[in-house]
Amino acid sequence: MVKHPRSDDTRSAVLDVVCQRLWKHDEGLIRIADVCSETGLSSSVIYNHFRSRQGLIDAAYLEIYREITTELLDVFKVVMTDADSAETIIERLREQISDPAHEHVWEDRRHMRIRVATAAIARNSMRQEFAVLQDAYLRAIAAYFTDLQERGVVGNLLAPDQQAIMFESCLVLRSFVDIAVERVDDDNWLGMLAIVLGSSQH
Amino acid sequence: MEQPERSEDSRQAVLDAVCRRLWGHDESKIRIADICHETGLSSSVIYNYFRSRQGLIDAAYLTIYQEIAAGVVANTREVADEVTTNEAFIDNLRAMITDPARRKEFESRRHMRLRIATAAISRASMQHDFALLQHEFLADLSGCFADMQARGAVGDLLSPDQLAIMFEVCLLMRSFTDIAIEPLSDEEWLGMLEAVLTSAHD
Repeated sequence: MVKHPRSDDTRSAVLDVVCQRLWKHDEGLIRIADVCSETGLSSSVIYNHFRSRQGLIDAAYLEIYREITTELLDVFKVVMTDADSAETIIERLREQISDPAHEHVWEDRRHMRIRVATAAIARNSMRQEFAVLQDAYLRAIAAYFTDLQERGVVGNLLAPDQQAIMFESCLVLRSFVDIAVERVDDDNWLGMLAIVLGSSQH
Repeated sequence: MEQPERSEDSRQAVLDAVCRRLWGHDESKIRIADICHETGLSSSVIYNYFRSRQGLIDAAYLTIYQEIAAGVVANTREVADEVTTNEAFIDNLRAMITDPARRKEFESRRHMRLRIATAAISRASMQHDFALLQHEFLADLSGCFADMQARGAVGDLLSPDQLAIMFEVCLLMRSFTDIAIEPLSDEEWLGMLEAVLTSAHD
């Protein structure tokens, strides 16, 4: 009876260490020896939980992705709930993203999400679990858009699940322009997002 | 007189070999020993050209990106050529992307672009050259959209630069849905693109 909780603690201690490292470094720099010395666990215990170095990195990426999407859904709850116009949504989003205390949080999150998604695209081992996470996340966003469309707050040219995908694409793919020669500023970005939210059938 | 030309040739041979491998494998599978074997060059010659294994991979990624970007611009020009309505643009695009002979090619190209962009986001060594390539690519796309806007084939709510970014967002986000539980169909994707491109001032 005592063994299970201890074993869970061990697993999560290892994951915490790897997640912290992944936020700072490329996965190529993750070494099992470092994780052992930081957690005080032997490599055989780590391999027992995660099978391989790759299995450990996959699990850590998925854990990070789960945390980020949970945080984002909390933000969207504030942004979308009871919004009475697309402008309100954009304004609330502007408050969130232009808060100087959060500037790097948003940028770090979208870069991390692209890294995790790219790993999932390249690796069969992660794909299924990634797809389940992303599906739950998109469904939650689509549910907001269903409500917003019913109340006539956002346009209806795109179905709610299409709107959720476009919204998500705008969030994640801002990473590309973060490293562009001319970065897209918040206002420019929000303007593009407003189009996605506003498109109505004529 | 012969030396520089031979040197250019061997540099190109190395790049070609690495590019071919990157299409089939993750970059972690690239081994200098394999490249030496395939090209008949010594590792010191290779390090002399590219400084390090990472430098070689970066250069190969950028070569691939440049080729793909040129292909996307050529295709967009072809699809946009002389069209005067958004329906005609979407129809041309549909004909191109639903061609069974090209489906695989388009999918592997968008996945590769995402891999390269992700590498550029996490590596300072690639960022500058990638930004220049992406800048040129977006400027070319923007030129296509400026022409189309002049012909009334796309909406005018977004500027040509913004249209180029949103078009690019739509191209790349398909990678995310390729691994979703329910991948987007061509029709759903075209519908989303159409909603973005047609947005006009009332």
